[in-house]
Amino acid sequence: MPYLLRRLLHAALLLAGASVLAFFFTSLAPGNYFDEMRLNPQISSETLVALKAHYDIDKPLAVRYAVWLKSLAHGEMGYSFAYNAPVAPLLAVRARNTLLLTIISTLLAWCIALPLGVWSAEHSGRWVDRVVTGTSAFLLVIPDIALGLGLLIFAVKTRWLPTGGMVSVGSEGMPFAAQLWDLLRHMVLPVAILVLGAQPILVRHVRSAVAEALEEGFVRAAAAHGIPRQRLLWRYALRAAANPLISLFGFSIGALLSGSLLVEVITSWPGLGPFLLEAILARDLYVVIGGVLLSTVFLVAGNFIADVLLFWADPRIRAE
Amino acid sequence: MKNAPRKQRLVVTFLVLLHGVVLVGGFVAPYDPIRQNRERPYAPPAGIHFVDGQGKFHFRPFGYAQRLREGSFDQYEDDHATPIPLKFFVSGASYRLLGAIPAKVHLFGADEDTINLLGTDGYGRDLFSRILYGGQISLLAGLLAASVSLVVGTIVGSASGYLGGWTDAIAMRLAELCLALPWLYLLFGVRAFLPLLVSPVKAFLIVVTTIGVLGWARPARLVRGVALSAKERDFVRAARGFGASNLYILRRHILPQTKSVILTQAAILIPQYILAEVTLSFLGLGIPEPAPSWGNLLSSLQQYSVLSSYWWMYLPAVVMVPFFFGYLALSGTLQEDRSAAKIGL
Amino acid sequence: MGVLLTAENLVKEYASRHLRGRGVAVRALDGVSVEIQAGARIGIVGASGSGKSTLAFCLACVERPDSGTIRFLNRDLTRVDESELREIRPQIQLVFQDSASAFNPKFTAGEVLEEPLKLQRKLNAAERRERGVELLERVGLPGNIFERQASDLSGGQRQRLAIARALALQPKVLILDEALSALDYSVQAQVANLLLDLSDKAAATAERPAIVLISHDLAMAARISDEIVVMESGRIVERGSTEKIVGDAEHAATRELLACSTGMSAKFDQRPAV
Repeated sequence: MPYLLRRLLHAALLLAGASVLAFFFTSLAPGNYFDEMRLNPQISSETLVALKAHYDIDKPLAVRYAVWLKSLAHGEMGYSFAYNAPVAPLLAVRARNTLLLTIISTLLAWCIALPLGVWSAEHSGRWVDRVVTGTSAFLLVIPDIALGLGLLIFAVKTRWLPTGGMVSVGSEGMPFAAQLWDLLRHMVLPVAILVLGAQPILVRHVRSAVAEALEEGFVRAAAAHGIPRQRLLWRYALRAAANPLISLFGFSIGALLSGSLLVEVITSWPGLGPFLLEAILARDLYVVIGGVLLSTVFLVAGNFIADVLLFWADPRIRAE
Repeated sequence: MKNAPRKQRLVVTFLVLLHGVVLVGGFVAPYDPIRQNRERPYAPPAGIHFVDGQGKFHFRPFGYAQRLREGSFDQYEDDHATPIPLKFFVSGASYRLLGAIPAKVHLFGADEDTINLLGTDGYGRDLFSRILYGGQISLLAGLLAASVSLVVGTIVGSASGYLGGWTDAIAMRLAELCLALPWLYLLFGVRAFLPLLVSPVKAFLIVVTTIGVLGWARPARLVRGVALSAKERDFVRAARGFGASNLYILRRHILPQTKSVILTQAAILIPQYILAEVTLSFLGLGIPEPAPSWGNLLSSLQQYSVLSSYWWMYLPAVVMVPFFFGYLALSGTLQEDRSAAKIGL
Repeated sequence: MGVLLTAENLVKEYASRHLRGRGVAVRALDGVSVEIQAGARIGIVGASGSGKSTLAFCLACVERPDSGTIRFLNRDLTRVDESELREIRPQIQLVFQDSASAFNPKFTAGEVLEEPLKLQRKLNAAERRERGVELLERVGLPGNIFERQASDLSGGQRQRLAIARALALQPKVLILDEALSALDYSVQAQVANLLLDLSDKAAATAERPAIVLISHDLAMAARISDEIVVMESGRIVERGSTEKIVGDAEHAATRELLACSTGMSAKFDQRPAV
């Protein structure tokens, strides 16, 4: 039990440190930043005065951080200048959308990569392996932006899929099943981009981890004992490869989160990505910090889940 | 390089060639990248022909002038009445070769009219030229940013690993923090607070420094690992026994051991950072107009109309692929080298 | 004959981890005191884990003891600061057990030899080269290995190179930590003879270094040393002249070491044919 508690504490500390770091970023060019804010027609001078008073924007870093922490305790996470509202509720909706996308993409990516990698490792060197490795290499070489835009053009040309947004206009009036179907259709493109982008790295690492595990002494011994192939692969080799694979899982969450930023913008998926971009261009300070930190929360949470999985999978850690 | 395996030499040659073409982009590109032609917005790629309308074969390739169809604002047709022969080594707009030497010669061009090999963008600017010049900026950004990351990472990592104690603890905690934020969000988070409305040169510097400095953590960790194991070696102890200072030991014994790690990291970071610059510029946070970068060349694709009608605007993305392939292949061969070295080959 | 190097009541602990993650302190040195005279030949013997290597490292100032004092020519090394220590270190040189890791894998033999000389900065390139050749001669290596990669040399050659390097700064104390253990028999004999030569009593005391040989092989130590110190579990359990230890061992540990020693009879000829 202490192991999990330790990891939880570590995650909490990491988040606290990340919040300080993020606030530290704001001190990079305070002069220019607030000048540019003054130029922004969306922010009236009264707002600026009120904000200065309430949020001490021109006060030193430590004070601003303390005020922000207090607002965090009130569930506000600071104030959005562009929307004239507390940040947290604005982020909540976007965060939900990003989470939806990221979680589905992670699960799908692993559901494809795991069997592919295992299959590839099992037939190492033969044509199956070559095809899988070759396709992975091909995909790996295509940068995310090229992949995303390419698939978008494909969607536009073929008109099979909606090419933007999360739901169709007027979908609220539809029955639930239709709404769900509508949502799914909108998800296909962004999820496809994310999953395809993640495949090469995942497949390659799964393959190498399983291939290495298959070389292990105890697996060979089990094979010699006549354990059937499928069982050998999934219950023996995969368990031996569990540790690196679970670390890979944690890493994949980070990669998919980063990737989702661009994908959301390209496909107009209303998640954290486009919102963050908008906030940057509008000089909406607290939204930017909130957005960055929220994405960090997801990443740290994902890694903590990986820690839990490791705890469950590896008896050596449970023994500590 | 002489001892490098054949595969590695092939890959390096390939990369050098690719970069070479971009390096002399001013020569290869027929036109000035920021020269607009309002009469020819979003023109499709001009076809190059060897056989004319009468079926006659010409050795010298030629194209046709593209004119807007009557009543249309984006449909072009080739004017078959005026074939435009392509000439090589023509004199054209002046530029600076390698950024320094003023020159006027271009690889190819035409006298009568402009031939847009890959079409034009919304302002009628030649896409082929913009891709070349844009490549110069994007590639340079990636290379410079990677250098920054590697320098910072090596200094911090080797000091951290070698000195240990508080230096190490603080440095590694800081690294962990930097790695706790998703890469692109971290990048955007910092970029957000730096000035946005700046000149292309300043933007370039901002982008390179931001990407480079923020990416210090992974190389630092790897270099630290090398330093940690190197400092326990007997020859380091021996050097200390001869009265060597820490600086000497770092310079003479530890740093040389980090070379292979640094090289491998470089091959991984450069494409990653090129992509970072491209992403930033694509979203308007990087290199601003009118300076071209592969990123901002693609940004018009954010409009549905461009996406659906003007497919050639996607070409900068295609051009990136061979470069990424080269770097990927290079890092593959470097990994093989290291595995071989571990076994003692 | 003056006292060069003394250790008084050295204590050094290492934390070792057990499976359950609880740290257990292991005392590598538990109150060790030893005295090294100028020009002496001392053998420090013990089984693995007896603490002899730790003692060697502490004497050579590679590691600091947790408590106790080390005096070199009456200067307390445990209290002296880093810059003073840097001056003293060259006078106490250590030759390591594993010659393979004793040299930077990318160095040539010449670079290995010249490194200490370069660090002391008293000679120019030509003088360093000359001295290098001298040192090679002294240890019986041919002058033409200057350009060869240090890692390409044979085990025996490497150990000789290591000794040559250690001698470069004319140390007063030469400590060899199991330096002969990894060599095969004939080579061991050669290097042992080299050590005897270096510390030849015929030469003036001021010119020859005191030799401290750390070994688990009592016979080997007996061959070279005049005095033997026996260690077990971080403590000195017996000490005396070689004749006494070999002929009339008192402690159980000593007797065990005698029994284990590798076949060479204690009463052998000091100088077999090379």
